[in-house]
Amino acid sequence: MQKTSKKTAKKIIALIACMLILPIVLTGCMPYEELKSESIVEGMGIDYGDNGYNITFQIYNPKSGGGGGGGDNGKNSTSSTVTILQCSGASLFDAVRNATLQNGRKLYFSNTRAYVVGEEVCKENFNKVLDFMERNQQIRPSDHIYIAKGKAADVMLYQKDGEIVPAVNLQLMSENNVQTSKVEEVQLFDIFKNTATGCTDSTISAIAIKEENNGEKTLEMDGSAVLHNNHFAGYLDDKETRGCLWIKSKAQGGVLILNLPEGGTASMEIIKSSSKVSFSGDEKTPAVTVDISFHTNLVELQSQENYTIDGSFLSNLKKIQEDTVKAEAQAAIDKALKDYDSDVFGFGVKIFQNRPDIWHKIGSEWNQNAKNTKVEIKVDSIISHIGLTNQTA
Amino acid sequence: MSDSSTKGIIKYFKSKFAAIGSSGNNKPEAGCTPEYTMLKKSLISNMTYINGKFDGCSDFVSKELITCGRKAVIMEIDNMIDKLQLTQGVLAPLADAKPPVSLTDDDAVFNWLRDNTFTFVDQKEAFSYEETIGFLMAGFAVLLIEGIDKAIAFGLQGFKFRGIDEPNTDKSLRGSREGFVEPLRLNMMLVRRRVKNPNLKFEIYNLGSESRTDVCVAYIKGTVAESVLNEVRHRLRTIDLDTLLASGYIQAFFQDDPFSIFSTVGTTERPDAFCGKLSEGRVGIIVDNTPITLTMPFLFVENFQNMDDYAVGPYYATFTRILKYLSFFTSVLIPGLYVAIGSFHQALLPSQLLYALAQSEEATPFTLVFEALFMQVIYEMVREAGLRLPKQIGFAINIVGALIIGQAAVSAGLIGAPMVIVVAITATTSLITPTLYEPGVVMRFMFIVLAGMAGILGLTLGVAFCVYYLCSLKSYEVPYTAPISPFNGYAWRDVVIRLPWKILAKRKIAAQDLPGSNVDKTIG
Amino acid sequence: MEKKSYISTAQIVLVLFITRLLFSSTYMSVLKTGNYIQDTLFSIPIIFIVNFITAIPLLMLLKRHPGHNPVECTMKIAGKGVGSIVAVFYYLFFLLNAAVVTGNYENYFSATMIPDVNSFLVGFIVLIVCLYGVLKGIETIARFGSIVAIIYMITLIIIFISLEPMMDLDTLKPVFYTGTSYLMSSSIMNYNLSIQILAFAFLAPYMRQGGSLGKAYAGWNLLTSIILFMLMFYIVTVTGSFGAEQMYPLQTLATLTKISSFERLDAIHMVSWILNTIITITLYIYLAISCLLKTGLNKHRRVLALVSGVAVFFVATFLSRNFNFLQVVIDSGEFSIAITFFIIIIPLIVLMADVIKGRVMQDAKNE
Repeated sequence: MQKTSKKTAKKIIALIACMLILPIVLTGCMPYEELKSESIVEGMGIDYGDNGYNITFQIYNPKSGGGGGGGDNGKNSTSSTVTILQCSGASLFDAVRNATLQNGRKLYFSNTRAYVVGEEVCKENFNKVLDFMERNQQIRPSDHIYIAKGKAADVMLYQKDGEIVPAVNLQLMSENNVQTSKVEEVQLFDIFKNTATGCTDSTISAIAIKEENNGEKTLEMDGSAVLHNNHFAGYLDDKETRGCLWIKSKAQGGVLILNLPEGGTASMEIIKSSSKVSFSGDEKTPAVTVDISFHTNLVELQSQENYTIDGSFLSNLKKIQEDTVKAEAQAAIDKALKDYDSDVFGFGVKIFQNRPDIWHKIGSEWNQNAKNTKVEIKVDSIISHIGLTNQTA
Repeated sequence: MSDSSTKGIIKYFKSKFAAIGSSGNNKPEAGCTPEYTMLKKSLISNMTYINGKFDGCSDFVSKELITCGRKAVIMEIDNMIDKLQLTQGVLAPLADAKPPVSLTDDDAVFNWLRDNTFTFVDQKEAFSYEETIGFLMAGFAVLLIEGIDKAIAFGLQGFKFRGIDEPNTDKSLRGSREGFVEPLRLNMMLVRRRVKNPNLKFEIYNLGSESRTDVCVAYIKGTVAESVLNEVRHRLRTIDLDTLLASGYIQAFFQDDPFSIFSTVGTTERPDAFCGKLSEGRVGIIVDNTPITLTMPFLFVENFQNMDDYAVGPYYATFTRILKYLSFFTSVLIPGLYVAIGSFHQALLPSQLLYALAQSEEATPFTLVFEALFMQVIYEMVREAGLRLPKQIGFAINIVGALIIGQAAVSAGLIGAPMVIVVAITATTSLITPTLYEPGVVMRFMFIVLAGMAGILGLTLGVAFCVYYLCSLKSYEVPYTAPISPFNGYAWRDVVIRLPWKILAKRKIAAQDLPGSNVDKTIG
Repeated sequence: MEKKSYISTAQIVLVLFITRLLFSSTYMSVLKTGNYIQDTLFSIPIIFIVNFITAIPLLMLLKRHPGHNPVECTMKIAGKGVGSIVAVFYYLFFLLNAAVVTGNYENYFSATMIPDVNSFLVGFIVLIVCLYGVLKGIETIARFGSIVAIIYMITLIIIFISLEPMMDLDTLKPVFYTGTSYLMSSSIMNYNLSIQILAFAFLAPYMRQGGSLGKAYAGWNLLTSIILFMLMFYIVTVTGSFGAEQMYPLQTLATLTKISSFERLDAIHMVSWILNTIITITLYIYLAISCLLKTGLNKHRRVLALVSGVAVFFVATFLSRNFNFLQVVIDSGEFSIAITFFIIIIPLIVLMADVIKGRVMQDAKNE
């Protein structure tokens, strides 16, 4: 008797379990995030609008491009790979959700190539924008962020040959900064780290739409913007940006144009560079010494004269290039530290790490007093190669 | 003769009958009732009984003849014996048999006949009807003489059988091309040729009350663990089947859990693989009329070992081993992973893949889970159809299958192109480890469903569940996942890597010596 | 009752090692270390030494009664009634830890992966798999644990190797800027998380004869401290003060990992974390049940497992809804007192009772 009742009990339990499992399987117990119901965001431009934010999204258009899976026979469609969506809202998250009023699909941020923030938004508290990006788990810290000289919507809507240029180009431009070193590759992670230290300010790469002589507009990276206390402080042009990179040890490529005293110019390719920041001075007069050392190659020599590249020529060249670099770095320091009051170079952090006793005294007012720091720049260089010939052509 | 001595002789011959081919192990046979009806001296009553039993069997042939001045009958089952040998070895000497004049007693004449006339080695005596019928069924020719209550049986088996051919399921490039055949004795011969050692023992049992199939237990004495052997024997004796037509029927009886997905009993169709497993201390079972043999205990890592691994150099063997492990995990996990990542975790994909996925998703109406399940079911259908068809129609099915699964479905917008690739990869990799095909299919479907429900979380939970299950399996007290999970570094010389033979030959690791095994080594 | 099953020392060490690593850095954000995060690195050698000290009462107790777990020892020494009360205490303690891990996991999943999922559903399906493991026995848990340990180590090695270019050793520089306050608070946090000595004590009966308890524990301590140190080292040097305010710094590290074109490997990290969670919860529930078995409930193992699972589920749901509460509790000194009570004081009392009893019986014999 007991065995049969146990058996029927087991059967009933098994039956109930089966009945419970089927609905769960068919409906799923987690919210589906199928790609059919999502739009992949490629670029996001943030501006101010009438009531809150105006956001311009570049959304990947899956109907474009060739390839299988589609009903088309692989015809070459003339539509661009991205479509534009503009929406507004009281906060960033509100605007993102309002996008479904136009699009019908939820926005998917994990693949975003570029976040472009308009100049006006930066002039207010930049932290407001940053908070949304730090908290959202879809946004990766390794995404790139840019400032638009003007409105971000213009950058997102920029067209070339009738087609909207996708934001991936911005990412490529910034990742290849090593070719010129006039642009800094700024990721969200760098800004988060700087903000977390509390005494470092950030630079953000700037994008400008320049108008050429024949009326054509080109989109290019143009220096960087400097923040101070999370407000926009000013712009640095490309030479000053490179000066920043020299000091931050990030100038690993690019071209130095040197004016030779006897006429002509020499182009030097930067191979690698590194810099060390050390603290000298005391708490009354904080002073910082920056030691920059770099390697270059001679790649082009343009002049009317005939030069023979020998030891004395090279040592002359070395001195000229060191002076050039020193001037660039000094320009960066003058603009960023003195004019804009912002410590983008991480001097404060270096003082905190190396001389904590001094930091005890000056750390609390570092944000205001950074501009009083005396900076001494020392440059050292090596010319590694001169190419295949030692005469001018 | 008195009863007790008759009984003694009966017992002796019973044990001989039970131990045909083995070297003397006194275990009672399984399945047969130990009741015997003895032969009578009168030929007519014997023949009446036997003819009555075989009434309706048109393949029962008997011939009356006269030998040594007495009537005799020689019986056989048609097409089971070699007629030429019967004529030359039995009938001709019988016809010329002239016992010495001094022998007049029936028993003495019988003994002379039995010992001097025939030119066989394989000659036995039967005392009961059951034994006689058993001999007839086993391909013997039986001789009954008037006045004698014993029968002589001659082992003249000459039935036709499928020739020794390359095994279908387990081909090898650098090993022997012989595979097991149906007759039990020939399979035993194939094994004996490879292990020429009297320590290799064969024990024969008889299973199945209707079919009375012979089953042979093979082991190498001294290497095998006695407790495992006793367990195998015990299970054999407790099998209660009517008919035993294939080794797969009894395979489940040797496993601990009849509902188990993974089989803890190994199968092989190759005699060299069989001998290899025997020499590692395993017990092998050969079933009559089945070329697939069973070995136990069976471990998870054996699914990835086959004979070719040992014939090639160590680097290539290691490479193919790693390939096999990778392909098993790929075939089981890839559809689930694709569904999970495509449905829930698109962030993992690099941008190009994401765009391709978005494009294919745009064009198809179904969700990824449904597509995956649908494609897997279609693939299994095509595979089953391919297994059953004769060769001529197989070609047409190939085309239809390729069309259904391939381009047309994609062009019609039913499924996405990446799904076709996933199915193709799954199909190819699942065939690399054929013994794991069945559990692989079950796990694959389970993972697709779980991945569709809960993404990578569901997939991982399914994997955890399967690993828990695997880790709890034991095959004859040896852990199923040894030597991976109770870890033994030295035993890894033959798991994922395959070290050169000089190292493999140094020290043998028997199955019962693996870490974590609770095999009782105190017996024997 | 199941047959006595044995697991090897290496398996015990590996299983306890990964249970310690799980969620070990989750509570750092409560410490609010900011720029001074490098002080937390020094708490790890301190905890290494403290672990040895806290292990002394339990190990001595186990040495005197080999082959028994602490509850059995208490029953032998102090009688069944006191032993049952102690068993209930330990049962609740293990269940609480299992619930903390489950609550942590639910919160982690809904915070980092998919926010709109019902967190208790996540806990529910994880608990089903864990209960299946509990019913399978300690050998299965040990084998599963060693496999998971290997997977987890491989994940950590991938993260370490790919993050090595992003290391910035300068973030280690000013140590003890604000004195030893952060050192003390992070030491308390790490102390509150190191309860594995108790799990070790309850696993000791299953260890094969001939294994040395002290050596196994020392091995676990060393391995765990080294890997924990490396983990904290990477968190400090790669993310710096940004990592100090993250809820799940290890998740952040995994997000930054990049192997050629495959970015954002946190899904791989999630796989090993889910497996780790499963083995941890399974182990704690199994040990909780093994506490109570000796009090006469050994026929009702399955019922007990089900009841424990349900209890863990409800407590975990409560904890994951009040996650800040959980964080503050774990970091507080009161929690340390509770842990000390269980790990040191109870075994100490039992040990002293045992010694006294032994002496009394010795005296009785001598007379």
